[in-house]
Amino acid sequence: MKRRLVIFITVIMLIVAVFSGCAGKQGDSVSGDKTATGSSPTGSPISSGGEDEELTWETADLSWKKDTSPVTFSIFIDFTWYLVDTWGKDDVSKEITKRTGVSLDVTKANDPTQIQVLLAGGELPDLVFVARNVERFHDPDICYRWDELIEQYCPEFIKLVDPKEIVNNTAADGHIYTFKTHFNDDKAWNDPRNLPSPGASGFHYRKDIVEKLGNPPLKSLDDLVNIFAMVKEKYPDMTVYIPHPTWPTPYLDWMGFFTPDSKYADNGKVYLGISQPGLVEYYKFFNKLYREGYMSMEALAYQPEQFFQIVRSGKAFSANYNTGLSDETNKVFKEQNVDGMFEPIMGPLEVDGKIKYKVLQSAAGWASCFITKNCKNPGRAIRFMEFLKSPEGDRLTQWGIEGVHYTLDEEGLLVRPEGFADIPTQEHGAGACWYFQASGLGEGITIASDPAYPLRAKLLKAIKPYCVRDIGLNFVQPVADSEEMNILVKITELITNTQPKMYGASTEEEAVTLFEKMLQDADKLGLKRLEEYMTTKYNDAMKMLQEIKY
Amino acid sequence: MVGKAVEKAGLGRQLNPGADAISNTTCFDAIHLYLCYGDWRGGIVANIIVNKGRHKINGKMLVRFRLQLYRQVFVLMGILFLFIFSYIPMVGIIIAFKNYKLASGLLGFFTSEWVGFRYFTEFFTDLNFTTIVRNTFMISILKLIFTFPMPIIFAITINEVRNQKAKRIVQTVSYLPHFISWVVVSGILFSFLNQQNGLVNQILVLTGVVDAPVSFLADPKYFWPMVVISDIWKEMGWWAIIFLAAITSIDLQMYEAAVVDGASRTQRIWYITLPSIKSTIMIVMILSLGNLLGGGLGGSNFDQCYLLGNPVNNDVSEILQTYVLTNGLAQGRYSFATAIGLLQSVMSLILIYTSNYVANKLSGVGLF
Repeated sequence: MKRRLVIFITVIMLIVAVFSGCAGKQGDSVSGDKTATGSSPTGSPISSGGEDEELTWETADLSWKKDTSPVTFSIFIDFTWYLVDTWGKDDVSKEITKRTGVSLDVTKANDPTQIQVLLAGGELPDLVFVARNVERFHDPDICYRWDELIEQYCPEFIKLVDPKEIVNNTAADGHIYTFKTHFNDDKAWNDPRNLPSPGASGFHYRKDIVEKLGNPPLKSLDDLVNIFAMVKEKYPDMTVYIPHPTWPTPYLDWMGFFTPDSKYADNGKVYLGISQPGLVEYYKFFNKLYREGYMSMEALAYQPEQFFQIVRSGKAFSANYNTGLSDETNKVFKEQNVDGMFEPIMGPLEVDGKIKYKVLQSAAGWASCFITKNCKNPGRAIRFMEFLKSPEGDRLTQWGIEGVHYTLDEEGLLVRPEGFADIPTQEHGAGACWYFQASGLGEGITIASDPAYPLRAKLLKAIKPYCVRDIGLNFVQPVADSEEMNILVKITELITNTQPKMYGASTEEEAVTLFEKMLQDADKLGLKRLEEYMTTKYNDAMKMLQEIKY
Repeated sequence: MVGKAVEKAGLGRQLNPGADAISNTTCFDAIHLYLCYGDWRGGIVANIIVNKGRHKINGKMLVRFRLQLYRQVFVLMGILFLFIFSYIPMVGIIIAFKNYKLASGLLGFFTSEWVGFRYFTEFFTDLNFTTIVRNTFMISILKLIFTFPMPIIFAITINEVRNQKAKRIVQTVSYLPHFISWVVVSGILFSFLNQQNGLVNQILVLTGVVDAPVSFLADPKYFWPMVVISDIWKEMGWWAIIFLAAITSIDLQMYEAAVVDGASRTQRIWYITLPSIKSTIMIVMILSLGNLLGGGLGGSNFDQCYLLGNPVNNDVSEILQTYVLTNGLAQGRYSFATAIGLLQSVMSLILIYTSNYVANKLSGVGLF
């Protein structure tokens, strides 16, 4: 373990030292620019490391530009919900092939275990795009190390990437196996155009019904419960509140808690969300909603599509899901002539007279695209990644083709052509399709400019000031197949199975007893050991980050 | 000829009363025995009996084999299939005792370090061990108790229907659900039983049976009845075909004699039909017990618990197979998953041997 850490820190120091050395020759001011916007969609100039000519993403002889002969890579996308599964049908994929020569033979996951079978059978395709158990792919026998491929096939690539991103993506063995998508460093995060992840929790309610009720106040959690009571009385046939079966609820955020299975740091120690002092209050509140008849337990037994079916039927007053539910449901209402309008609660609600609102945002990025050892042409594959990582590739994959799918306004936000919102994603191909190296800022701008989701953009703007980001937490995830990983999986399972019982307890006392039993069981499963492990990794990471002045 | 062969093989008691009184034509013998047993298992037993008898008569095995070559090819293909897909994969059992990592691929089966009974111990000490084992056995036993007799009763009932058209319609309609996948069945159940607008709940509320819609899908107390009833609905008609075939082969003269003797319809069922299909019932019963933990006749435990189970009824819906998926396969913990799978197989093996022994002792009918 210690040896790995030493290698890890040494490699990071080397990378940063080399990089700093190169930058030093061009002057400090350039270095500043470089680190801030190296991977942003705007593409600022970057030092070429001692060469006279300035190296930027626009430099003519970047490696990916040198060979654009036709080549096809197979790829496995480990997301059952993914919007596309065929290359060459949409505008963006056609354009990517036109510019790079690369085509993809896509396989989309049918079930969560499919990738495990491919992995065990040694049948992985050339590329895999995955967000779960990514540590499994940090293995030189399974995947190519990007740092080695870059050195061999496109040495300028590493100089063009934000060093913070390099640190963020350095595996435990000190090598880089991929660059995670949607990474935001502080500068990118603080860009006023950027927004939090649309996957944040959102609470959505029927604005039209609230208006009919005379617009009662809605500033606190008590106000919300009061509205629930009014709806129950005036609209007895309506479902007052339907929670999404798997999505975290915004009550946690309003009450100042993180989700029970998330990790958070406090005074240099890392805890699992289940350990948060006072978390029982959340379960007591949710249980009260059930006991007072505002929600049914059956909602937690639904499949996501069944949840949407009920929300879209117009028979639910309120629901929680991600931040885009109101926009999506209103569109369906319009198409199906349902009389109603959803709107999210913007920003925080007071709890006990205080604003406790906080939203945990990942500072690590999201999914990873790996080049597997089965890839026969790793050189072209890494150069393809260089293209996707470039501002040109980032803009193309996330925003579409300039002049066709968007233009930029003076603020740098997207202006979509009329009718763009009505074109299916599978036809234009921009967004959640081919963004295997997407930047966080690129996505933020897309969200902020999306004409189909005006309420989501408004909600995310309201959420942003309350977001909590901790780069150190990126390094605490237990390694695949380790004992700590087993503990984490079992505790997560325990939480998943106990939560519904607490929600649906017949009395508040029963809910509290179940909560205490859950904590005891988590202890038996090894919660303390897991937290100690995560704390050690966190502190090591923080020390390393401080040393390189992250 | 067959009668003698059966006697020599000491298996005559396994046959139903019609088996001894059949013709000497070899091909017909096998078909008749097939019908006596009512299904493919009967066919296998018949084959064994016929071949065993003949073997002693001429003793020229190779010559016979050549003569039967085209039929034997089918048998060999079956054996080859079993060997490739059932016996060779058994090598994989060793990873239950090894610290197997996905990254090591197939070679890892042999190169991974031995860890003894670590994964078995981990499962036995799991917080949910008791609940999972209880659920697996309870669902399996409930299904055996309620789903096993239903096809027999249904077959006998259909057999008593005199209107041939009605009989055919009922039989066809009853076995069609067998061809619907559990995924579709779970969707149908959602549409019928959900609290929001489920048909059953609407009827119950309209007729005043209940004041408020019942949470059939989430309330744990409805889960076991739901899986048993849906299994009966889906599989009863299908399995009734086997028993109907067995009933069809009963000598009609016995019924005629019983009618002459003044036996009522119930008495004919009790004293002729049921004893005549006893051997079929016993063999199907033994096979069901062998697959008890998989869901008996239909083998549907996993499908039902996976599709109808949810976090709310998890306490009664989590079974060994779903646990293997969520805590083993989905996490890439193949060694752990194999250990649990092996445990289940051992339990099934014990069950099939025990039930075969008990069946042999009680009724003289057994698979081996």
